[in-house]
Amino acid sequence: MILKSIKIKNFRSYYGEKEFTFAKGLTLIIGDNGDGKTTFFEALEWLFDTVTDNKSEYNISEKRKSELNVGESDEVNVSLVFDHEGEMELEKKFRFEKTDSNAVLTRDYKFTGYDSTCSERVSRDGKQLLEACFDSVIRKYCMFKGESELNVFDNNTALKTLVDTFSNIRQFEDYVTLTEKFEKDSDAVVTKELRNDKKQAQKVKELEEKRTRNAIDIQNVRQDMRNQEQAISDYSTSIEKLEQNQEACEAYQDIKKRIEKKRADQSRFKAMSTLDYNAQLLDEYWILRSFPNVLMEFQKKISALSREKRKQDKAETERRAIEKGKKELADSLVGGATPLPWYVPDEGTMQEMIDEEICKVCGRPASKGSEAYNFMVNKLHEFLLQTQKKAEKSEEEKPYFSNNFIDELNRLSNQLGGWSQKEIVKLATDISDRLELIQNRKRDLDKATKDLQEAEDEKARLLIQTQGLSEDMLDKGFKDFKGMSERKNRAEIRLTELKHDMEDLEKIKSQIDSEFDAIEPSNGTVKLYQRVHSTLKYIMGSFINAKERNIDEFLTMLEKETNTYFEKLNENDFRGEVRIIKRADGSARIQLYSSNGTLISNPGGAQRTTMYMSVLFAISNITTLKREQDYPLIFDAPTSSFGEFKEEVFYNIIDNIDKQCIIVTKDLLEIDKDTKEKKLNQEKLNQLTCLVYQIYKAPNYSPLDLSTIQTQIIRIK
Amino acid sequence: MSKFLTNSDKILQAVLQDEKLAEYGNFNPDNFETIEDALQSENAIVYAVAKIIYGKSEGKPVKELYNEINNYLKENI
Repeated sequence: MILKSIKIKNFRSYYGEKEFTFAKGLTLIIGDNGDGKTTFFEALEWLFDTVTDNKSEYNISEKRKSELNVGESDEVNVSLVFDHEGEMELEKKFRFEKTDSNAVLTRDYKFTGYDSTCSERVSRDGKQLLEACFDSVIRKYCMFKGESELNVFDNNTALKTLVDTFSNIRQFEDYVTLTEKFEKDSDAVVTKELRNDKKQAQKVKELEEKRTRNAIDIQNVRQDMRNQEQAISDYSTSIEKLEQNQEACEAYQDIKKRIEKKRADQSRFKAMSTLDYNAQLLDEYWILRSFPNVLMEFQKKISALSREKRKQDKAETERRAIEKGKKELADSLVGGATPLPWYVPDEGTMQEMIDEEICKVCGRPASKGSEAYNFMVNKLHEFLLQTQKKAEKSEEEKPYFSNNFIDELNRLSNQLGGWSQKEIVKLATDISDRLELIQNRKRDLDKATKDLQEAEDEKARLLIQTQGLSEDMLDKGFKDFKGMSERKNRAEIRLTELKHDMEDLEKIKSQIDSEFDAIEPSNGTVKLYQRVHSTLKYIMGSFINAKERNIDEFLTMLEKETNTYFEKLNENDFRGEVRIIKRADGSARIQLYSSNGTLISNPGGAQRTTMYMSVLFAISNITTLKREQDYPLIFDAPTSSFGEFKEEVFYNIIDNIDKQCIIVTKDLLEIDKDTKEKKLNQEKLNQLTCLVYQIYKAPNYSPLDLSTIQTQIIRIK
Repeated sequence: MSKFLTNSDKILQAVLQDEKLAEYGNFNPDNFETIEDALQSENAIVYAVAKIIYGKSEGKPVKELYNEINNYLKENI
């Protein structure tokens, strides 16, 4: 079966009719997230669905639906043309009609096949044609969505299905079960007869007890082996899952550390950039920041005042000296006679003499208006004047500036100057330094806040990318990895011990069986039953051995084919050797070994993917061999764990493998430095000979409106 | 031209290739290519094996097939 072309019409984002033709080798369909890659894959899945008649509204193009008026209709249609001993076509479609502004009715579901192997094109039932050409078992090994689906041995029935489908002999298991039942029934007959044989009854009883114990032991060990194998498988799956997300785990740890550091920085810078200005102003005297200027002005003013005071003081002293000189001159007497002191007689005596008009100094009358009377009046007048002068004189002797305010201010000015002033000038530098430091910390705080936000955004993006994994799982997974590997190792050691135990128990069983066979019955008929039983036991053993050989041969063939592809897909790289290991429960697991026999228990993502893909290529080859038909392999985004280099090598190799392979992927896209948009990496594409399509969303879509989304396709080469 | 072998033929060949069985039954496995060949055989082991495969492939009830094989072996070994 070789796919030739597919038309997809009005299927989800595939608005209108879009057609892809396929190469016989590799066809690449390249598109970014949301461009319609998975929709392409799901259109094929819908076409190949033979279980349900799915005409779900979900599959209708929203854009087409939104264009229809009420009462109008259109169809969803996917049709595939392929070669299978002649040209065939499968077409699945249904109509949809707008019944309301928000409702559509789907109807007329049809799945039709067209066979053109004869001279004319014959219409057939779609399901029948599909099953005849591309049955569900084959399809299971041809279509894979994502990397996680690539491991076909991820369930316990996979080996049986594969062997039944692709080995030389099918349904061997059923024959083995049948012969085991025959042997058991025959054994029961013999044992029953021997039990009735009186001579042998005791021996039979003992052997039966031994056999029962042995059977129980075997059952227990087998169960234990299954448990250990299951544990190993579970641990491997978990480890694999952890490893698949190892990069995400590591990236998460890195982001987590950054977030923690940035948070610590943020709180440190916040503390350092916060200042209690009140405390600083009062406790640390920041309030004196402008003091030097004020002091200078104060000192200037005080100095001026002081100068003015001295000047005025001096002028006053001079004035007083002049006044004193003048007075002394005025007070000097004629003839140089010495006058009586002004206070003799005193004021009272003088007043008494005036009142009595008698000079009691000389004893002569001094009537009013007389010279003597006037003399006394003058003398009293002088006395009063002198008294007044005396009072005035004491006043005159007071300093001109009675208070020392200016001197005090001057002293204060001197005190504040000098050392204190220097200290306060230094305060300005301290404040400036401190404020600069705070400014710098504020800048650091801004940067730390910005970095923290970036780290938080990065974490959010990472969590979106690792859908299905919670933050806790990413965190815990990283820590669990070591413990899980250790538990897996312990389970492996225990399994080896159990295998040895099982070998010993099998030997005991064999010995018990021999002892049973050696019992000589008294009755000839029982002897015959014994021979029949022995024969059936041989037959059963040969069926079991043949079945095991068949599986081994199939696995050897599968391993050989797998390693051929594995070698190709890992050219110029360490690859090891793929082995498919059978387990006690009849299942199998793909494992990678170094050529020296060491198990590579945790291969890298790309190595694991190429390992699984090699198995798929090998199965496909075996299918071709067995069915004498080739079948395509269709992958949706199988290489997400690949690095850029590995991706390039991978496509170059797949390009040269002689097998039809359709891969939808976002590989081979790169960021355009100018537009910052994704574009095809032409350099890498030029190295490929395969057919390449690019799919993309038609421009001018609204990220919020599904009805604006439509996938466009371009054939690149 | 090689004969077309059915799944039953392939099972028969694989089972008869077992050395212990061949030794026990004293037969040459190469002499039996198909179920038809084996059902013609006078060797009781070869015949019994062929009968089991044929009976199962024909959908014969297990009990009936067991009795048939058991009786055959009782008479022929």
